[in-house]
Amino acid sequence: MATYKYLETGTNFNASELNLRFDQVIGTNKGLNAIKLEDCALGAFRHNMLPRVIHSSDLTVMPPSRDFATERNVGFGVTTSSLDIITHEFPSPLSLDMDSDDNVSSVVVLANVLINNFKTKLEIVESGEVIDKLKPNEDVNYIEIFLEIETTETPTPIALARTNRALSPRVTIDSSSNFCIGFDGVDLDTFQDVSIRTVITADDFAAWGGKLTHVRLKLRKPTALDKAVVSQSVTHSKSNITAIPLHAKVTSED
Amino acid sequence: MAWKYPKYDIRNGYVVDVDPINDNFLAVVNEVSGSLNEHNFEADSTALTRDQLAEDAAMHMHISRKDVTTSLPVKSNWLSVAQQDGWQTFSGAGAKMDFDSTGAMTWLCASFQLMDTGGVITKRQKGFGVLVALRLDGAVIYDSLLGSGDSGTDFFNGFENRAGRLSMGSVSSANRQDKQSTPYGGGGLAGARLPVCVDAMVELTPGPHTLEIAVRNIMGHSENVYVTARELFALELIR
Repeated sequence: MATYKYLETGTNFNASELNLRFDQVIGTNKGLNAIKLEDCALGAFRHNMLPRVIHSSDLTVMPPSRDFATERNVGFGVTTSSLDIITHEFPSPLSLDMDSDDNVSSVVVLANVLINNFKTKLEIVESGEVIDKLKPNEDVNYIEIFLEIETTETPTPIALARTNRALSPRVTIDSSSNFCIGFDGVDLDTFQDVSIRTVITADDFAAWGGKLTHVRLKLRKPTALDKAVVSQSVTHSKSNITAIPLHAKVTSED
Repeated sequence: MAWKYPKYDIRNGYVVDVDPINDNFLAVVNEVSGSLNEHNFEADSTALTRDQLAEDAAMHMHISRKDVTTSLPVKSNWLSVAQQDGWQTFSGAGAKMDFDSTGAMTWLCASFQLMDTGGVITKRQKGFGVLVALRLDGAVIYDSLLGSGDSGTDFFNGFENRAGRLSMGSVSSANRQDKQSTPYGGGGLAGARLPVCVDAMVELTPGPHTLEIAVRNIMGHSENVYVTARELFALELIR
């Protein structure tokens, strides 16, 4: 910001007084030669003069969409155990530090997967009563879905506990108000979209450090699932995971 | 406005006065004091790099979250939804976030887990569930609402709240699917375990704001309903 000393009435109008004012406006590292951020008006820079504020500073052109998102646009898959649903690998490892060359503070993650079907067999004894095994019971039949990350330094993937999700079959309601629990009572079409949103920051891997390399959506058979009661298989299909690195100030409000 | 010309054209023979001198200098000084705009910079130049931008030059992310296990019967840090009508909110990380906005279009988002089970195995199907939404500064954002609860279209009846009949013995396999009718379902978000994500875009005013997860227990019916693992965030898209 330039400063200017007013020429007061009665001031000697000589070279010294003139030079003083020239110096304030166009002197060495002063005035026009020391433009600061606050000297520019809002919107002063055209879009082509501003850097992108998403993804790494290392990428000098608009990145292709695959750098942000991974899709699994395939048919049904069936699992009877834990599995990796979908993994997004960053084109280059990201340092979540605004002082680093990447100039990235956080990554917004949007993960989705469609769970089509629960196939299960139940036989439960409750208060001495044997419940028909053809009846679905959500209290004992469910899966767990969560996000995990990897960095260049983590020996094993880090599960993000805040993204712990669980899904039970629910019931399927048809247009005639009949509640169908599927063929033979054990085949539960559910068609539920599991959506998880989270923000990854350096705090998530502070104990290990390094650069973020992967974000993964995982399906886990619950450890509490009683195998004597539930013999479970789950059908899943479309899934996607979007991870957007941001140049943004991050404030934890906890 | 960036185009500036000398306000006074001082020529030989003019009476020297301080005002033309001051005004001619001030035209430049004022421009360099916060008024430089696109006219002052060459259009094709690459003016800035990312490390020259302030952290909040374009976006400001506010986050609040809570690590919680969904496993029973621990229930550690679970938030219990009371059996009462009306919207309910909660205190604590991940469920309520106080933050100061600079005033911008803001993406508000909550991602969390709903549980409708007490850890005791019952033979009842879940139903008559809950509605969820975001609440900003005490007002529910209906654009973000998930769930229904319209008794004119949702089917709530059921035999002992069960999903199917007690015995399938008398039902032929051909009719089994139809005969396994009348479970207790519908009405809001129902299910023993259900991941939920709600969001909204809101033009925030500058100043303090409070963002909360809001849950409405339809008719105060469901018991053993909880919000477990949870996260709230607000991304200000400043410019």
